[in-house]
Amino acid sequence: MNEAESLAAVARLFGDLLLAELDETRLQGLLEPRARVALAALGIDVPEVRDGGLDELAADYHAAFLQPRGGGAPPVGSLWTEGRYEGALTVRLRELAKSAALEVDPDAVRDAPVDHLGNVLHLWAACIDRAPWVSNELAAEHLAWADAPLARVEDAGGFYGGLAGALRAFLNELSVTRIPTGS
Amino acid sequence: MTSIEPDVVSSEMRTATGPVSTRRRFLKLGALLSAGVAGCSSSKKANEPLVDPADESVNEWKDRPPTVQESLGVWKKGVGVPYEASAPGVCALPGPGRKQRFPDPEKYADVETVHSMCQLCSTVCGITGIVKDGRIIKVEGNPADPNSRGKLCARGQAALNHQYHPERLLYPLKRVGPRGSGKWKRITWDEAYDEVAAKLREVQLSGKPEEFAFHQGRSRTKDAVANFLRAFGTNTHLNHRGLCSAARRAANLTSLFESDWDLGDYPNSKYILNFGSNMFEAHQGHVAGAQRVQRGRFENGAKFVTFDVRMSNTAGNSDEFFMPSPGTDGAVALGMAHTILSEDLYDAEFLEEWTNVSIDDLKSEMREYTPEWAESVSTVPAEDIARIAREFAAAAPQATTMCNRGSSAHVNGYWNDRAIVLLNALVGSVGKPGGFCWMFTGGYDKKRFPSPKGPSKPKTPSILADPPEFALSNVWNTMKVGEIVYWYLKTKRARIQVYMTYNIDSPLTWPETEVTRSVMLDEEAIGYHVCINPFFNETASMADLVLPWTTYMERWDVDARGAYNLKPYLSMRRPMVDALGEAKDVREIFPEIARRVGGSMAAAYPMQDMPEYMAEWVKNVPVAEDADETPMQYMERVGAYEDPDQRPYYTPYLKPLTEADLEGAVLDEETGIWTKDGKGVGIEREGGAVLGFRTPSRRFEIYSEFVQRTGRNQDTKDLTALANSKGKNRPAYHKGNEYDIYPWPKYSPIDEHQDMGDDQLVMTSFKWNVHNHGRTANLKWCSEIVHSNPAWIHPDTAKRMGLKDGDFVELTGHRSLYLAKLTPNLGLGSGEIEKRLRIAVWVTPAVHPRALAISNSLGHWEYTSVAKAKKGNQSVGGESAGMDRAGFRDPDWERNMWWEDRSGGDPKKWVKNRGNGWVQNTVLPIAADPISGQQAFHSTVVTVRKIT
Repeated sequence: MNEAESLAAVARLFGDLLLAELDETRLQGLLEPRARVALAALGIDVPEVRDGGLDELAADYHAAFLQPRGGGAPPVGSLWTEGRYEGALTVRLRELAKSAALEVDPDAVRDAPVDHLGNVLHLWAACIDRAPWVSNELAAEHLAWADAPLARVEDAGGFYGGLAGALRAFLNELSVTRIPTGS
Repeated sequence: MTSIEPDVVSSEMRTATGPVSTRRRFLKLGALLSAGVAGCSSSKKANEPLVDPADESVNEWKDRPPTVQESLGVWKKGVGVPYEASAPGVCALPGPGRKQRFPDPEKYADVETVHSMCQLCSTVCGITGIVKDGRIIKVEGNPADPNSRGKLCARGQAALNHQYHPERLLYPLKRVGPRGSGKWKRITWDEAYDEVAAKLREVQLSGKPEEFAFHQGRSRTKDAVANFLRAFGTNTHLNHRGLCSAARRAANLTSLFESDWDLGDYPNSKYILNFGSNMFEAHQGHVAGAQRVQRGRFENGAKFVTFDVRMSNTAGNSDEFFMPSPGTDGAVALGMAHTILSEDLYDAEFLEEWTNVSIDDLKSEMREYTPEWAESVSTVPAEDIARIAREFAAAAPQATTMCNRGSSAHVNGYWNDRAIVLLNALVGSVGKPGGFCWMFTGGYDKKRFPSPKGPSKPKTPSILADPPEFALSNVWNTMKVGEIVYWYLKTKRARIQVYMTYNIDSPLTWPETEVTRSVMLDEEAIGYHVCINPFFNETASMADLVLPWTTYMERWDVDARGAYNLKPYLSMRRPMVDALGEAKDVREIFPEIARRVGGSMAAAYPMQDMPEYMAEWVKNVPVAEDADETPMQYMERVGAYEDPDQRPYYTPYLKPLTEADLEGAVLDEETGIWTKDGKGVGIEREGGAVLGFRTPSRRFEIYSEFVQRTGRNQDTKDLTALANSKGKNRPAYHKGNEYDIYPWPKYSPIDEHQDMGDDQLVMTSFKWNVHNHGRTANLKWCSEIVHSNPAWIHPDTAKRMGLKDGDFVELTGHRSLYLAKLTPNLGLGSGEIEKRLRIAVWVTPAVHPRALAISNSLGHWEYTSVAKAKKGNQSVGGESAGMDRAGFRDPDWERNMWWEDRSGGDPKKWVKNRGNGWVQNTVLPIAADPISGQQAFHSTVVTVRKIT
């Protein structure tokens, strides 16, 4: 296991957690002792839930990442760079994916915008071998916006606040990570 | 995945600047995940990325992966270009982030154009979307649309704000806490469909299909909605017509039967007499109408005279403008009628040949309505009333009236509009070039271009759709009385098991906000509420399930609006881009719900692929024989169709009957009416049989026996048989709600306006040229122009009340005495509205001294931060990596939303033109005209109390 692959695995996990609420299977996975300890070390406190707890977590997820009423902080790049969907960042990310002959599977990501941070993390992970220059551009140029929404979610606390805090640190790592391009 | 060698990584990968332990923690987690611990890999399949190799449609390299050089070539095209340099639709604003390359010379390179139709107001103008890189970069008018002819108003220009709004609703939401508590979770469409279908099946099992109510605001998807409700079997299809144009429609139908919508032939007119229409800003069809009014004025020399209690942009741009007292337009019109009759300025031939009254009787009826009397009622000088009447008659037949909500939206609106319509008959301009015209169909010819066949209408009556107190609301068209729905539910005269709202914001735009709010939150009154909307509005906040609807730039329709060329036309709304997120159109939602409800509903709903369905709809659009295209391709290329060989719909009543028309027909020698199988087909005139008007008398009806009998709940089958167009009896359950409707035009004074106190005014309402009723305050380009709506008050009134510009007043709304007298069964009473409204005043001579004017459209408490004039949560504040945490980064909004109100609700700290405005409906009572059901938006007496 090399560092890039380890970071890619984390990127995929964090991408998943941004793209979907916790379901029972996912939650049980995160509560597996070694994973729970590793996540706790990053400030992510995985909750044990009782009846209705998943609904509460889903409501927290909605309030943090979806809230279409202002006040939430959807981690979608164009919202934070241009205050709209489908900004120039979206176009560039489509180009980047295309340059690696990749595309975001809309069904798999629940129709999240291409510039949703979850998708960007998955794209970064997918490109570390096949198009490392794409991963490098993503890390160096297209992640800075994400600190603002994540900071807001972190301030709100809870499971997603912890996740947001860890993500901020993770993005900081990615931003200074260069994958060798071989050229 | 081909792995990168660890030694290469460790030797070349730079390490993080942060604490090494943090990176190690991530690496440790990554190692665990890679080993399959926690099942924490992708939600698709273990270790399978969500980003896949592209399919052939987007992959230039169909047979092989790209080489490194090819891949780098694509990548390099956009590397290093700053976001703002290529952001379309952002103005060149001052400040550090302003665009440096404006206008961008490459902006319109490599674009596609898609013709479609706007839907940000009721006018549905033809539009063209400029699409680049899969997104819309501009929307402009489509010159090929025969009605709007390439013009597009400010709302339509703000299409990008609507399409790419940062607070668009993109996923189905289900409430988690109590209704209205604001706690939601995202669910899948599958879950949403199943839940709605289960609720609808429960309604079916209850045996009360009418308790599934569908409530629409602006719907231009009429075929799909009708198919859905008919497939289910409910007639509780509610709309907003009672709040819009019911009185005007009823007045037109009384005289014409054939059509409820007059379309003045303005380009060919010499005189346009406008009673309270704000055509230049907000009239239905205003973009098409306004340009033709101006053409009539500047190319044909037409004079344009306006009566309005407020100086709208239309009034201010008229040749003459008068301010009558609120609700007295009918008196002014009757004063003119008196002048025309008493000075023998009428068209005797038209009156004798084509109306159903004698001139002597008409003179007798109008005898008391002298201009002096009209002045005493309206405050408009008698000499002006008489002069304008003479000018109007002299210009005839190239003369027409125009009216709309200004005269109609009163408790006496029906009477105002009947008096206005009468003027056209007096001068013989009915149906003439330059005169008072209409169309046999609203926009497109439904017989020539029928929508694909759907299920037939169910028989189950609905008290909510046809409340018994309102005599004429549903006897010609289904106008409904939308504003009474919540009152019926509140007083338990009806209950709804499943309430589906669609493109409606009734908590904001309906009268008596508190009634609407309390009923929508009451789970006894409304068992289950599913809201379909592109944004989270006030209605959504009171729903149980919210479904994200597409924008009009993402969906299909065939549509048209009242055709001002007096020729039917047809236009097509088509997707310019894919829907954002999981937004879906009802054309996709309805069949899926129907499928899951199953049984007869699934069988009845027409399940068709949408482009195929649209192609069937437009299959009769003719294309040239040598044209290498289908009708659908023609619509795609042009966007609209108008038959060049069709003549304008002038004087349809003079159309000669053919031998075939008369075969088997019988002539009634006394009335001159031709009937076939008991149904009217025409009328005998000198020179032969002609079609005549589509009324019981086959003439333009100034005197209406039909409305008189209908008011009394008497049988009218003999009359509607002769009309053979529209009209039917009121249903049996209307018995007990009889109402005496005078058959002639008359003036009907509003009781509560007669003895108002010194601290009382008549509150009127209006609409701005950048807003529609409840759906545009979220558009930042529009809201920057108009976001505040203080109460307009005349300087004389202000002086009397001790008010100055910027002062705050408290308004108390009073229910209508007039309505309490005429519709006592409703139990609305005549007291005060409990809630009060505190609002700033703007002192201006542009409003009648007896009136107080407040615009609608503003004062949202939901519907995005722009509509609320909130940049974001200021308490979060701070900067993160150069970004403002408090809100989305938007040069137009975050940095420039200068109108956010920082007063904290303290009137003394309020700064003029700050904030998002006030909701007039807080103190505006439910007030439905008992004849047509028209909501009286302009009649409410308010008590004004100064608070600062």
